Amino acid sequence: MANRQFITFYLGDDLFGLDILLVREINRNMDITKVDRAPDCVRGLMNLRGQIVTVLDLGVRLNIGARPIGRESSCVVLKTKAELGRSSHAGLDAHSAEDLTGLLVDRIGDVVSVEEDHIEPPPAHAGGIKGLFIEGVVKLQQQLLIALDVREVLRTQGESTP
Amino acid sequence: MPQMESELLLSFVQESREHLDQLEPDLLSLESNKSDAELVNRIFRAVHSIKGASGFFGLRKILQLSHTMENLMSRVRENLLVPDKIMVDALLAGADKLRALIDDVHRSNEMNIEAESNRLQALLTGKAGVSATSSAKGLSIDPSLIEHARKKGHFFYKVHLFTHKDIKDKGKTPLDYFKKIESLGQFLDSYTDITEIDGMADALAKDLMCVFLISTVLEKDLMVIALDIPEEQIAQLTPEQIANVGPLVPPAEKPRAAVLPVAAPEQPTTPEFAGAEPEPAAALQKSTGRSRANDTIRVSVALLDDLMNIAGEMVLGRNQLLRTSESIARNVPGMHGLLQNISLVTSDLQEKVMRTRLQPVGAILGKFTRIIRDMSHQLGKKIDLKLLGEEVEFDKSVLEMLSDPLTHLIRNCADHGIEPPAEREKAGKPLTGTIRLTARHVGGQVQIEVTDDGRGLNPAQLKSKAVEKGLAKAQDTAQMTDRQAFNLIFLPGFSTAEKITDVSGRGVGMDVVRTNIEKLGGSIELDSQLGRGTRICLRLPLTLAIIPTMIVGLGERRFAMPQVNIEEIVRLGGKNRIEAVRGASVLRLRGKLLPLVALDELLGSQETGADHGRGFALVLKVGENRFGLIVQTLLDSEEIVVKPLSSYIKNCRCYSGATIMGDGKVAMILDAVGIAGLADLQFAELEKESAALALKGQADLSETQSLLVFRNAGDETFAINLVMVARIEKVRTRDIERIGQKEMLKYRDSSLRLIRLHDYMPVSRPDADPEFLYVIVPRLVKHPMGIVVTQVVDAIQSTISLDETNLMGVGILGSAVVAGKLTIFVDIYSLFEAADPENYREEKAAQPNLAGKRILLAEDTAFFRAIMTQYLKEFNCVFDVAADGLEAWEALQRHRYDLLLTDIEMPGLNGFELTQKIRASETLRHLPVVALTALAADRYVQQGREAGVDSYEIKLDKERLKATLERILGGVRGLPPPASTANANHLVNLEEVRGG
Repeated sequence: MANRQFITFYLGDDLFGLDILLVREINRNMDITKVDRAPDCVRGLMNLRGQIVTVLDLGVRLNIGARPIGRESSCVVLKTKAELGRSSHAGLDAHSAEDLTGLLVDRIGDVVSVEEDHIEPPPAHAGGIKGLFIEGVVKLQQQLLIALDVREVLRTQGESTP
Repeated sequence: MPQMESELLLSFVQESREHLDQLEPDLLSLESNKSDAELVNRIFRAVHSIKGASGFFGLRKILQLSHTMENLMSRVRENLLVPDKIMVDALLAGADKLRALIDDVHRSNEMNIEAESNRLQALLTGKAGVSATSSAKGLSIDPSLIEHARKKGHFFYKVHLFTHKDIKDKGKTPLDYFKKIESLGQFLDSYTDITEIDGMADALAKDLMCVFLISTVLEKDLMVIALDIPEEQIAQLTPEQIANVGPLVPPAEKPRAAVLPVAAPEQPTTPEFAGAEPEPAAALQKSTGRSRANDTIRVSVALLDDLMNIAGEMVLGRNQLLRTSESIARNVPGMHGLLQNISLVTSDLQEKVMRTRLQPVGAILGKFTRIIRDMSHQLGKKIDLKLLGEEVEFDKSVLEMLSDPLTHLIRNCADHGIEPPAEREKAGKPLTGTIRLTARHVGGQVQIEVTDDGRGLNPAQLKSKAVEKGLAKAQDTAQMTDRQAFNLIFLPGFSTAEKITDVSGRGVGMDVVRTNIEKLGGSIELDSQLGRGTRICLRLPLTLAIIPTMIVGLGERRFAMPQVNIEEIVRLGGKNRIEAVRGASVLRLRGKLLPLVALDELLGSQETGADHGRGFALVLKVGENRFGLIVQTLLDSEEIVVKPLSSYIKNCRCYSGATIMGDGKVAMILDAVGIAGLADLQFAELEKESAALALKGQADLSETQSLLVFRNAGDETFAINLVMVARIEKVRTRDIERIGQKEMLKYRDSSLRLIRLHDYMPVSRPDADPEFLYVIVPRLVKHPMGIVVTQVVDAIQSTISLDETNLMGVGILGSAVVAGKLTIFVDIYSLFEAADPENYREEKAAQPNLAGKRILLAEDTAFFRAIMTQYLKEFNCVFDVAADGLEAWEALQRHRYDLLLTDIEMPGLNGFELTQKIRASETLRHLPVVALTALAADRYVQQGREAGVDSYEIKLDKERLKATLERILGGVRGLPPPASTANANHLVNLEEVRGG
């Protein structure tokens, strides 16, 4: 059975995971320029070696409260559609954004390898977030890992500007 | 391997498009250059190449059509046919069809080419009597080609190629092969066995055999090596065989190899065409004139964009490096040079990368030739399009966005501007109208001008149309100048054509054109003379990727505002108070109300609470409207690299992009248009309010003057109007030389005489000269001298009421309280007269012409009134003074004057209105009018001309004023000069003012 690897991170005490194939890099640079009038979930813009990354506050997006910037705050920078399109894993590009996007999280966890059939379908709610955002859950030894559906997290439709 | 196949096809499509791109302008010039052999050859080759390559893919229709076109061109090449309009039309239609076929190459075989084909065929059969039954099914060779090749001593070969074995498997493309064959000799025809295949995919999948007929000087063994194919695939034919080769039916039939005894070729050349010099094979691809050079490669735009981005980052990186290593560089030997080197190379790199994105504007101008040609047919007009500056280069992105607006403008010119021949004849113009399209660089920008010599715009018609359509009010348009009336055309919903034609009425108006141009950071201007033509001028930035901006601060953050939007920057506070009109913040700026928006409030940012009254207002221009954006701090002007916004932020409306600053932080680029929309500014409302205000508070209209305030000794304060000051020099006291009684200063290769105020004026003398002195060099005088002062205090804007009686004496105009201090106003003319009587007395003596002339002076500002009165006294004129326009008008009714000298900005009736009234009056219309202005701004000159002003003078320029008065009044005693004289004066002088 195929294995999948997840990059895990914490929002508060809850553990979340993203498929490692979707992640470009983890960045600890918290020099984020706030953008007024942008949707709430947009934390701001960040300079990633000359490219501009739109940083989304994952907490706001998942409706569990804006993330305070702490010592261990990190930004999970996702691959763009174009980057994923070049990779050998076909079909992944549907799961990302056109532009360089990063997700602000509280703390980075380990990389977890999970057998595909250990991933359970999403419940209606998990860790206080809607099932809509969840691709599946994995019962780890100590904790429940919530695998996020990136497509839903990045979706801009229905977001209204003020 | 579907990818491989599509790549092959793609390269065919791409190359064919290039051929077609070249084909169209060539065909167009064929009409006028019928005997240009090189041109004919180029057209032939383009069609020929398309034909040759299309055979590989079994593209029957493309093959058939290009074949027919080729046949026609070969007749032209042999001078059997002379290209005329009908032929060029047919060929153009063919080229268009070819493009359509190539654009949809997969379905090209199902398309109908009969119309184009028949048209060409008719020309072939009709004129030359040659029944060339062109069919895609076999080979039919033009006998003349064979004859031609035979004369040159060529061998004929039939070559079999297999698409897979010989081409694809060797990593080549059919086009490679085709080119190779072209370089070896003359390609006669080709045929691909497509009987067994159906559809494109199949054609590419099967190992098809293609047959070529070639004539070349090469012997067979050399052909084997050159083409890199087995010997048995090459068969040599005799000229007779080749002539009768007929429809080739491929596979089995293998022609017997037979060596043909022909005379050795005199030169190892490829066959060239009649009359042309033999050229090396490689030169075949080259051509004269504006064809592409071969030493170029294709690079994807995405890659160039990336490069551009990286180069931009490199510049920023360099800036950071220079800043942080400043202290290190001082201590490490050699470091400074190193940094400088890196700095230079980086700038160079950025510039070069930027240039890779530049394309000559000719790339889009070329298509207009075609548009105009087609349109002149449709409209029954004769139009000549002249393109100038095709080589001027633009950023690709700008160029692409420019194409549509320009097309619209050109179509407008042809449709509405140029008159039908009959109308032109009646107007005494040449029957052929000319549209001129000029591109040129003007100070870091590109200027594109579209001019026509057509009927021009009728301001009255524009006005009534605007009123009719409810776009403007009748009373507003009545006051409009012609230029303002022309601008009506840019209003949304305005179209000048009486009826919408299918030619230019396409639902987009000039408003869209203007919006598009402004989106590019450019501007558009329109000028027209009824019956003479119209001129439209576009100004555009060279590139959009790097733009100059003003960086403003809001709390910790910075924002960039593109400088194209900024008209001026006003420091708030003091006189520049923020006022409230109908609940909106406004700033009173030179008598007009400027709506204000505070950046922090607009953004709803948390860093508010700052005192807006103490910040800055960026005066931004959006279309016709202006508004002020209040910012807290003004940081720097900087060139920035624009980065696009992600989809999350695009809808904020107030940003046009983001950028990375020198310190690595991200800053947002503000969008003036978006901000104006977001703030929902009511420009029209304020316009009314402005007008009302102007009527109410006349005091506010009195012109403020720019004064230079300085001191000579102690506290005694002097002032000169800044208009009179050319420059101020700071000099060392010991650099001043003495020659006799006079003090001189070496200045730019010549010497300037210096004068001291206390030597001629009743004022205090300084105790001793300080180390440095200041020299004020005046302008508007004939013999400049420098005025030495000890201290320059300030340059200020102030309204003053001049007291002429309190203080009097040589060099003193009067006194006034400026910024709480009594200030002496220096009269440079009388000061200079006293200092240099030889030069100035002489002038004074020579002015009998003006003596006794009756002049009416209309001037509302006391200061200027005082000065002008003095001048007129000196001129020995008889004069009356009116405090405003209405007073002047009344005076004119009562008395008779030789000339009116009027200020422009006056309450009640301004100078223009007064002039208009005079020109409309039966008794006064011949009265010469000289307008006075603080500065000769172009728009005033224009406005003045329209109002009927005879001449324009800069206030305080005594010498010129005198000269003008003398010219206008000279010789005529007490009588109004005849209209013709007045008009002549007016024209000459306006030119002068404009030029200066």
